[in-house]
Formats: sequence, structure tokens, C-alpha cells
Amino acid sequence: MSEKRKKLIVTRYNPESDTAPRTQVYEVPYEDDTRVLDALNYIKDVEDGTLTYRSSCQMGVCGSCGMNVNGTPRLTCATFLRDFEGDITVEPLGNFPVMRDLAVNMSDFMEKLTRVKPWIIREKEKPLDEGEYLQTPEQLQAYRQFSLCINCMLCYAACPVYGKEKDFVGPAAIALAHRYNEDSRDEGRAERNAFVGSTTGVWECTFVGECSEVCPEGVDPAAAIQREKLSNAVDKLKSFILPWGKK
Amino acid sequence: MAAQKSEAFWWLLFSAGGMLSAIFLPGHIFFQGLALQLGWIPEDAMSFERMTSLLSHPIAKLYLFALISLSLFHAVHRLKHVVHDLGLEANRLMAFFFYSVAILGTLLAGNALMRIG
Amino acid sequence: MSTREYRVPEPGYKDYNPPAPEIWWTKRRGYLLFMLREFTAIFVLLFTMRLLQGVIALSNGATAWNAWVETASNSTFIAIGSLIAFFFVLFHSITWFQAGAVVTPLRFGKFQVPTSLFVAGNMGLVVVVALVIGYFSIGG
Repeated sequence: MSEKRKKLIVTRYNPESDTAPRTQVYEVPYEDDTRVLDALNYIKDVEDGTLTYRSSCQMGVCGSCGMNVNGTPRLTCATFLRDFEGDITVEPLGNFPVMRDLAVNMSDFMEKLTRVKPWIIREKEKPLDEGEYLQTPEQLQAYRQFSLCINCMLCYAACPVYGKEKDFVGPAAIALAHRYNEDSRDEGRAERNAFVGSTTGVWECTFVGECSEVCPEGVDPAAAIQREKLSNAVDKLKSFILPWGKK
Repeated sequence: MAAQKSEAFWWLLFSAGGMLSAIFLPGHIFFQGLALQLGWIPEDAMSFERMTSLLSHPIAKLYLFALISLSLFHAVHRLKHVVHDLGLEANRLMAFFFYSVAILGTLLAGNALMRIG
Repeated sequence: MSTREYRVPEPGYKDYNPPAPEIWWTKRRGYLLFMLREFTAIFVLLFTMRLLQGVIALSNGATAWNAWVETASNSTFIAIGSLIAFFFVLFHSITWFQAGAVVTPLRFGKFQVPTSLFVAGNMGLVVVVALVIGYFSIGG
């Protein structure tokens, strides 16, 4: 039985010795169920132990294995070699600084996630003896989709605004803020507004929509951002027309 | 360069203009653009007297004012962003220029419509 | 025997920062469609200016108005421009309603109106509105 083989053109970058990334070509055998991540594991096990990349669950829930495959941000554990004709280019996830080979610096992303205050904010905490918060299925539906984010950063890699403007808060962070703003238990919209509704927040977005295109979990961050634009603009209008009103 | 502080305000105008232009402009382009060229509009329908009488109605004036003004704000807001996306630095001067076009158009429309009939 | 001094490097100190490409919008199909969509604004602007010109002409008297009608009816430039503008503005309408379905989805209880239906419904409205405009344009 003839073995199928594919060429992978992989970005290499050693911060100790390189000034810029270069590429290295590997040829890997593959089956119908071989994913790009499997190919990378094969390369590291058999061909070149120095290849560096991130992965964890290998099943599309942890968000660790995001990379640019033929120019498109993909989860490499969910990208099958059989779907590609010809050579496959594997690059580090776009729009992020490259630390080594295929591993990128996630610090900016992590910092922005924290700054949207992704937790339930209440004016007064409900004491335990008052019982649990009750939520109807409809109230859950209002935010559930936006809670599915696995923090894989593919949306940041796809966003041309983030590509040019690293200050932009970004799709996943705003979608996360929206998830809490829409949660019936939360009262923190005004607190999040300062960051989310700032000039580097929703107002940087021009609704290109590629973030939602590449999202592997169907979060639709583009929708979250546009809805936050609407509520933020209405908030600003209200506070302009009725400055004494509660924000 | 980050967005303007007034971005939310211009975005509201952009949204309103987007809605009006999306719903009403196709019909106007067809009848005041294509149909006229194809000779489908009878001569007297476009007469000065008939048009003046039609646009004397305050509702007609309000409609055209809203459509023209908001469509202008919609278009210049988008073009401001397009110019930035094409590589030009988005500075305040350029934004001022674009919005001035819409403001001027709004003033001209208001003035003209008030003088009709 | 000397021990080599071990310095823990700060994360990111030798990161490679990829430069952002100047012409980014040709790189993906989604980016190109986005640019096309935004470009419709030029035709919205141009045709709205035509309408503004007409309104100003009407306010300036019969001579000015008839001149505007003359250009609108016979100018080849306007003919070609109107045709191109017509298709671009239709594209604007369709993409606008697609965006509308995303920003303000229509829900009846549990049922959410799918985007295609939302767009079709709104385009139907555009047709109805066009008929009304036609009624007033032709001589109602």
C-alpha cells in the first residue's frame, strides 16, 4: 500500500540565533484522520525534536493550538491534511509577536481579557441565605453563545484592525464583556463601559466580520461588538440628553 | 491611530443614514436615475409646477431632508474609514473634512427645501 | 569550577514582531468583500448629491429645474453612473440588512428569524417603497 505523504512548510524562529523567522520543509506521512497537529507531533518525535509549538487537549476545546495554516488562522487539531491539495504552510498565529517557532506571545490578549472585568458585578452582593440567582432559559439564551469562547485567539489573528492597531481591545475580549453585560445576574455594564466603549474599544471595529468567520466555536464576536456599539452609543446619547439620570 | 472620542455620535448618524439609504435610495435611483434616461417618465410628471406642488407638502420636505442629510452622513463616515483602511493616516483634519461635506449638504438641503413652494 | 551565570530572560525580550502589511485587504476573500461593501458609500454619496442638486434646482426656479431634468434624462454620463450606482446601492442594501440581522436579530419567542429571511423581507420592503416612489414619480 503506497503511503501518502505531504510537505509541510513550517516557520522556524530561534530568538537566540535568528533575527527573523525562516522556513523549514518537512515531509510527513498521513492518513485520512491526520491533522496538522498530528503532523507537527510526528515531526517533533521523528524528524526534528527542536520544533516548538503549543497544544493541549488535541480536541478543539482548550484553544492552545491556533496557528496560521495556508494563511488562515485555524485550530491545528481540527485541520485535516486530507483537505489540502499540495504543500501546507504552517505559520505562527498571525498578528502576535513570535516567541519561538510556532509559539506566540499571548500577553496582550491575556491582559485585555482581564481588563473587561469578566465576572458578575453586583451593586450589592446577594447574601447566601437569600438563596441562588434564578435564571430562565430565555435569560440564559441571551448570553450563552458568547460564553462559548475558548480563548484560542484566532479572531485576533483574523482581525485587520488588530493587525494595524495593537491597542484595539479585540473581538474575544469584547465578546466576553458582552457575555457578562447580557447576563441577567450582572449589573456591571457601566463599569465595563470605560474600557469597552473607549476609543480603543468597540469604536475601533469596522465590522469586517472575519473574526466570526474563523471562530471555531460559533461565538460570533462581530455580533457582540456591534451590539455593544449600539448599547454604548445609546448610553452616551442618554447621558447627553439626560445628564442627571443614572447611567 | 485610535478612534475619535465622538465616534459614537457619528456612528448613530451613520446607522440612521444606512437604514434610510438602504430602504429608499434604490427606488429613487430607479425612478429619478434610470427611468428618466429610458424615457419612462411622462413629460408633465417632471414639470416644474407639479414637482413644486408635490414638494410643498411638509411631509415631502421632511422626508427628503432626512433622506439626503442622513445618507450624506452615512456615506462620509464610511468613506472616512475606507480612506484610513487604504493606508492614509486617520487624522482629525481628514475626519473634519468628510463630516463638513455632510454638514454643508444638510444645510443646503434644508435651505432649498424650505424655499420650495 | 566556575558556574555559568544563569539569567532568566524576560518573556518577550526577543520576540519577532511581524510587520503589518500595507495592502491587507487583498489577502482574504472576506477582506475583499468588506472593501467592496464599504465602497458602496461612494455611490450613496454621489447619488444623494444628485438628489440634492435636484432639490436646489427646484428651489431656484423653472429654468434651473428644467436644466436638471434635462441632464437627468439625456446625459450619457448620468446614464452610466446611475446604472452602476443602482447595482452598488442594491449591494449596500443587501449587506446592510445582513448586518441588521446580526446587530438586531428578530425574535418571536424562541424562533429567531434566519438572516436570509430577514434580508429577503427587507428587500421586499425596498420593492414596495420603490413602487410608492414610482407612483409619485410618474404622476400619482
